[in-house]
Amino acid sequence: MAQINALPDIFAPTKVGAKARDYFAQNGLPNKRNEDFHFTDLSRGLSQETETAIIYEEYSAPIAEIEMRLFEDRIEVIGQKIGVCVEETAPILDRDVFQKLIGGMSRFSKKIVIDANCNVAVSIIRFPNSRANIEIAIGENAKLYLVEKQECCGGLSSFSCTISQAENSQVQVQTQLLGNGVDLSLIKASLESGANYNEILMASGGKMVRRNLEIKLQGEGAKAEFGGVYMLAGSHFDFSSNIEHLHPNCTSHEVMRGIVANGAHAVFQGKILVARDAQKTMGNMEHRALMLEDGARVNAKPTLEIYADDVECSHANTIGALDESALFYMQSRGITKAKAKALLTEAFLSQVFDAMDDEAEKGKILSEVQKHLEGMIK
Amino acid sequence: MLKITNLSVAVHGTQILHGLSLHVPAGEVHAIMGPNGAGKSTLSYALAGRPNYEVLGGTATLNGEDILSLEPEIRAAYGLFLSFQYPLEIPGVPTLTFLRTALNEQRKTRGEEEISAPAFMRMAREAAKRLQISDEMLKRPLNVGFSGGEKKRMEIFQMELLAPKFMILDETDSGLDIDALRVVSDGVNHMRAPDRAMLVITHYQRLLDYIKPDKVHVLVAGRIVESGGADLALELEKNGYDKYEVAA
Repeated sequence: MAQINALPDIFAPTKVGAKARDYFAQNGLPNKRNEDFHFTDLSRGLSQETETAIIYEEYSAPIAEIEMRLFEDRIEVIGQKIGVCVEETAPILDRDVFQKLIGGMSRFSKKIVIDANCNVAVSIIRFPNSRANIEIAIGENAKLYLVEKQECCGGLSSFSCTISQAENSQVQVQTQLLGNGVDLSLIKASLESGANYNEILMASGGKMVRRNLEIKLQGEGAKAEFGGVYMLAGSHFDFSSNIEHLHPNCTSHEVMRGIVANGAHAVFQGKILVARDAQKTMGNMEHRALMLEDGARVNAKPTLEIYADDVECSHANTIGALDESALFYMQSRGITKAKAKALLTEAFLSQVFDAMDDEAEKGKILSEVQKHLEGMIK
Repeated sequence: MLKITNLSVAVHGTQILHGLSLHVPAGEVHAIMGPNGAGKSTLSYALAGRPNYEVLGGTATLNGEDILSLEPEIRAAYGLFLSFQYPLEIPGVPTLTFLRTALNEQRKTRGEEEISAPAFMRMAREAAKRLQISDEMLKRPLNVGFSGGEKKRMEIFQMELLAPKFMILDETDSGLDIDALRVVSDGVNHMRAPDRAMLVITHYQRLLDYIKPDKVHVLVAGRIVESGGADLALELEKNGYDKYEVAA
């Protein structure tokens, strides 16, 4: 019983919450001894006193056809569309430790079912202290635009999103993780033949932020693309991805770039797994980080685990500083050092979005990045 | 215009310039020639304010203003321009964005109004045409993937748009073929004006056939050891620097 008392009060009053509590009481919360959490000690982060979150009283208008607002004490669903159904559901107790943890923390759950051939835009707004579990089932040839936005807050939040994509369905996700508290989140997508998953992510990090991306490519020609940037000033951000190629002829492409300043700590753990049958896989992964000051820290661990013999897989990883010669060159043209740093940093990050077709969307993301950088670089 | 008095400079703790003095009045073009390691590039970098180029003593004034204590960007706003021997590549920053930012930052420092986008574009097109720089090059990130010759043309293009008062050309002729040399020289000559001055640093007399100097100085072992007219360059070409090196 002593061990149970030692656990922080983070589990939801649900069946899965009780089971998760039992499990972690016996095994302890994930910590440095667990390889997946070597750089991010969750047992420490979750045991700390959380700062009081700022609760918003007024909310702006919904930004998509269907908006889910995740609060500490409820989920609100705004809007509806023919071919889209929102149902009740409950998390399951997953075998994976991280999923078990956020499943156990989830207080509320919803499931969105999207019919075949339906196009829909959904926004998920995560308010302070919300801990929710969302499942999305997408029918054949359907298309989902999903915005996941975390409103600025302290506190402790968690978010689990499971997406199952039927044949030829398309998902485009835009994620903004801009909270500053402790946050654990996960997107888990499984793709059937011809399905396409595309995500753009922007993160500022927080007191302790862990994000997992789990993709299963399990049908012919399925394709996953991910482009992310993180901009950390004194904050922590841990991004772990696991792309599983389980079927031949699938493609995955992952690019993450980030900057760290002011004692910030970034973690990138990327894994591509290619199963024995998954011949003709194309998988690549790139992570590049810029350290703007001494005292910041970046840990990167790219992993390729390949069991098939006819595949093209690659990974690249660099951690460096801004080029002093380039800075001087720019200064010699009249550009202040701060502005030169901002230009070089912005250019470094914006290359993640080079491949985006939609110029308007690209412009919006770049201006968000710019806005964030302005506060960071002095 | 530019007046250097008794300048001593060390790079990473090694003294390279030993009390160099030089005066380039407005309207004139002076050339500095000298053997490898004499301190030619050190002089240009020290004037432009490169970090780790430590001024041990002496002064350098531009139109009476002491520039050695200023940040590089302030020197630029005062009208100093260095054409780099090895121009840097700036990935991700389109050439025109870079230059418009530079021009507007300089103007801001001088308390002038920003230039409008259309006015800037007009200026840029004109200068680009003269220097045979394509629209495609202007859209690319600055100097990324440019050939040596293209980079040098791009330096002169920047010089034209920023319209500095005092220009230092650090071995602008290196890596140029005859045609590119002519284009670059024409660009430089186009900038000559009674209220401007120029310091041309070179190994070879060849460049001075195109950019006629008013004076030639010989830099050996961190000092100016001889000054003369344009003829001095021809003599150096013939006899080399041996006699100075023995003396130094």
